Amino acid sequence: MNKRQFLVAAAIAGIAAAAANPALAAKEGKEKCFGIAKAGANDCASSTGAHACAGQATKDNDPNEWKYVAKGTCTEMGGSLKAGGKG
Amino acid sequence: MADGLLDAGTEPVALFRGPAAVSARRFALYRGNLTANWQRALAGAYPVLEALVGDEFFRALARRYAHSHPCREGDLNHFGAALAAFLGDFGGLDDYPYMADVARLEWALHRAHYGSDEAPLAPAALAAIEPALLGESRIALHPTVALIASKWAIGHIWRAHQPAATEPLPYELHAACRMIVHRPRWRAECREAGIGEFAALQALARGEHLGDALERAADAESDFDPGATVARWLDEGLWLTATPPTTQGELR
Repeated sequence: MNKRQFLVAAAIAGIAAAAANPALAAKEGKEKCFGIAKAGANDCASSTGAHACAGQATKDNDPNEWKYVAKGTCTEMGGSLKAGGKG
Repeated sequence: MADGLLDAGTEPVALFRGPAAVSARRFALYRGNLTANWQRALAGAYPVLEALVGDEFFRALARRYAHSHPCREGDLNHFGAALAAFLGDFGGLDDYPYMADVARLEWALHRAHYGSDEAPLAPAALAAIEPALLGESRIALHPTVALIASKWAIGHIWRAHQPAATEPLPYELHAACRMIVHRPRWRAECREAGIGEFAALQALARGEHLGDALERAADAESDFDPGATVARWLDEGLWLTATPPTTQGELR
């Protein structure tokens, strides 16, 4: 038995095990599911209820557009960008 | 009018009745709304990226992106497809080279979330294939599956930013990472993949035979376990169809 045959035979054993797994059969069909909508994906009505439409309260802020400073968690991470080192 | 919505200082006040200054101020509100819509659309697809760069940077990024990739269709869920490439070219994030790969991962999850709900390949259908033909069969991956490889620890970064995250932010960011994105039931998920299984899935995605794909996995990872791995793939619903060599039709 060569390597390829061995690998395929092992895969077949895995397929047989999966086919015999009753948990998979139970996955057939659909059920009701709540709480999976993405946060804020309901476009217009505000997710916070603060206002009726997306961005209504946001006025133009062109003058200070484009800050080149990323202030999010990336600065907290700092982190090592070099392999293996603490750069 | 559209130009005025994109750029301050080009308000088409002549279009409106009333004092020009009032029109300009009111028009600015519309422009602000448009920017906020872009930001919200992108934040829906890229919540981790937004947390990484911060709100101000993200809003500015959304504006820049919308200028270079104007939204051409009504569905804002498609807006943002090219953001990862845009980040790479953009240059403002040179100190954070992992950002573009985080964005690729998030877009794959976003696509999986909205991907078509097709039944994955059932193990029983696969078991019906003549065992001698299985090694020469081709496997189509489920349309929600995406394979994302990065030299950065994007899986760790992503998990640390989930709402129920228990992992701390990573410090060692330069760590190769291979992510499998899929949607087992309704919720798009991702997990880190072993080097062997990732090589095999990539080979299958290229249209290689199952036997060849498993050989690649074994070459890449000496203790690759084909049985357990294939069972896991089937359990996760990563496969859509299998096509043995002698038949033209697909087995589902």
